[in-house]
Amino acid sequence: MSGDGISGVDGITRHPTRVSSLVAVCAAVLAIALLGTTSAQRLALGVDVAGIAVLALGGAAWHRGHRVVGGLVALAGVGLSLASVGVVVVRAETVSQRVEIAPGLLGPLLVACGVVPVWKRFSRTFVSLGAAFVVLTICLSGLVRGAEMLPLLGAFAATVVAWDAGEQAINLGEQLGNEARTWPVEVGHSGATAVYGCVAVAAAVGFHDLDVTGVPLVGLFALFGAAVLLLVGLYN
Amino acid sequence: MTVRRTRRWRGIVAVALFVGGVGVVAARPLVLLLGVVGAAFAAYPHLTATPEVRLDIERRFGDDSPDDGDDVVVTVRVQNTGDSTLTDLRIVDGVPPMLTVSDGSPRHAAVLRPGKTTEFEYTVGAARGRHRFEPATVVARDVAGTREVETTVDTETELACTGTVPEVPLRQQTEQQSGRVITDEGGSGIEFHQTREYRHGDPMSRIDWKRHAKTGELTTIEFREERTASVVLLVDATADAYRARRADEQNAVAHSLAGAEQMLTALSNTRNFVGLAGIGREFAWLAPGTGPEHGDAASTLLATSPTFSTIPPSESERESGSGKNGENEEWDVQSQHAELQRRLGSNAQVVLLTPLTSPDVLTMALGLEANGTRVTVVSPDVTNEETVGGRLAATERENRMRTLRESRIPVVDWNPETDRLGTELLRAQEGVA
Repeated sequence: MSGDGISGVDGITRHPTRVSSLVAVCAAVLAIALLGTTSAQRLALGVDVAGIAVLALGGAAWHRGHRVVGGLVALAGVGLSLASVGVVVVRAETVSQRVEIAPGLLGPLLVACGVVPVWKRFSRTFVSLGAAFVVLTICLSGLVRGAEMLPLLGAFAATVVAWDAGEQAINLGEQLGNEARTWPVEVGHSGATAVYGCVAVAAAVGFHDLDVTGVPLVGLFALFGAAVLLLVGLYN
Repeated sequence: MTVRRTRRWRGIVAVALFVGGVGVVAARPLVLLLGVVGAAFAAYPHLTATPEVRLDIERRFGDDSPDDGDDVVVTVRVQNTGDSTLTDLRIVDGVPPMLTVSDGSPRHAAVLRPGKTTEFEYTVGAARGRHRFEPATVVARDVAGTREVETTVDTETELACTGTVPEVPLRQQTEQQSGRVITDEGGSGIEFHQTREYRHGDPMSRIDWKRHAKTGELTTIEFREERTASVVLLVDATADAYRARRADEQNAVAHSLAGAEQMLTALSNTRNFVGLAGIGREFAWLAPGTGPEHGDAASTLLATSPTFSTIPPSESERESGSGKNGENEEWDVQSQHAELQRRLGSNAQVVLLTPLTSPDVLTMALGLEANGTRVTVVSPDVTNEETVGGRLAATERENRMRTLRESRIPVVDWNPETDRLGTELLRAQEGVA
């Protein structure tokens, strides 16, 4: 864990910071919203968001010392969010509409569980798991051809922004606590990631427009192999 | 300065490979394109540079001389003196251990462009004593949060919460200049001293004419001479003096320094010469003098000299300090005594502030007195009666005070928690004057 050098002084609430937490959840919701365009999918997402809001309220009550009430409200929020998966399964018309969004609905909930935080020791795990569920849903959506190119790429970039903001909220909370004024850094950090995400999406679109996706599968394999080598090279 | 890699973007490579792999296996170009976005994010942490941290820090207090228990607003200004923007700057101010933050947070985060400043404030509850701020810890991350530079920024800041002392009891060892210390020497002055036989050259105004009229003898009235004193405030900051009643309370050196500060102010308001000396980590010395500039110099020395640090020596420092062979120059208390003896003039008197926790300081006080330097001991009491060891220390201290008093050295026994130093000094005044 980073920043051990300045943690460890008492009297500080070391919860994830608010602004980044909000950005994380909103970005995760945005990612799902870009994928799910039918009314049933939107309804399910609405239920999901309502559940997360109730969870946040419960978390706030819990941290103010109302343990029993806060715990019950938070639990109700989690239940409501989980129910959204049921909503999309029941209400969606086709199988592909169900498949492309069902796992993703868990994403914002898990990110929210990480930043509320429900279980502090596993905050980072929750956020990463939430982002993983959203990535999974993006892949499924791409496989069943549920979304257009731009929403798909945008959703992926939003997921990275969500994960980045969630982790930032946690490490800022650990180092500085909730009492400190941290919003300029949070806004700056997430803003930079979002701008970079837009650049990445633009690069991918440019890549697409070069029509390299028209090359045969063997060519794609070669391309992908080269990308793997590049990434391995970057990290060593 | 330490530079760390946070490795927070590690997972993105796996994600990029995963989506790319899915795209290839399922032959979906659109999913493969996600791999491009993933790869771009994998490159993101490599595009940023390690932040270059050059900062200036400044602290201001809402109230420079607060009373015990007052709330003091501390305003911290941090300026980026480097050439690059610090996108993720985190500051944790070094609040002195004995002060508690009552409002706001001594922690702050800011985006700081070159030359710009950021300001934050918090409130501390003042506790009696002198509190030196520790260096602020600064963590700067690059915009992606990949590299983290941790360093400290320091500025000498001290919050002094001290009472005032109306008068310092001085002993009769004076300079030649006239002043306010009433001596036992006869001469001109206000207070009657004695009459003596007329000697040729005595001023006419001092002849006791009434007596001359009555008896025909010529006698001269002598008044007590009023002179200035030259006082050296000596603070005992040896390793043994860093005792505190309880772990969370101030140690005796902090109390001694608070006392020295108060007496310094009181003495600066008189015509007496005041000097400052300290024995501990190293020998600190400021020769007696007067005037506002001298007062400033004394305050600066009190605030900045490592000798007058209220932070107890670490174990390693302590070990090297107690080395009997005197290998370590800085902690060689014997040579510091010798240095003090050498620097004290023949007319200077010493006010020694010590908790009397070691026999060495007793020897030193007796030695100074024996060599003709008048010594007054002001001793903050940090012993506690709760443990057997505490009671033993209290008894030892009592014995040392008795030894000093037997050698006609006045001792002011001061309980810093319950008594104000001024009251104790006034009480002692009657015995000393």
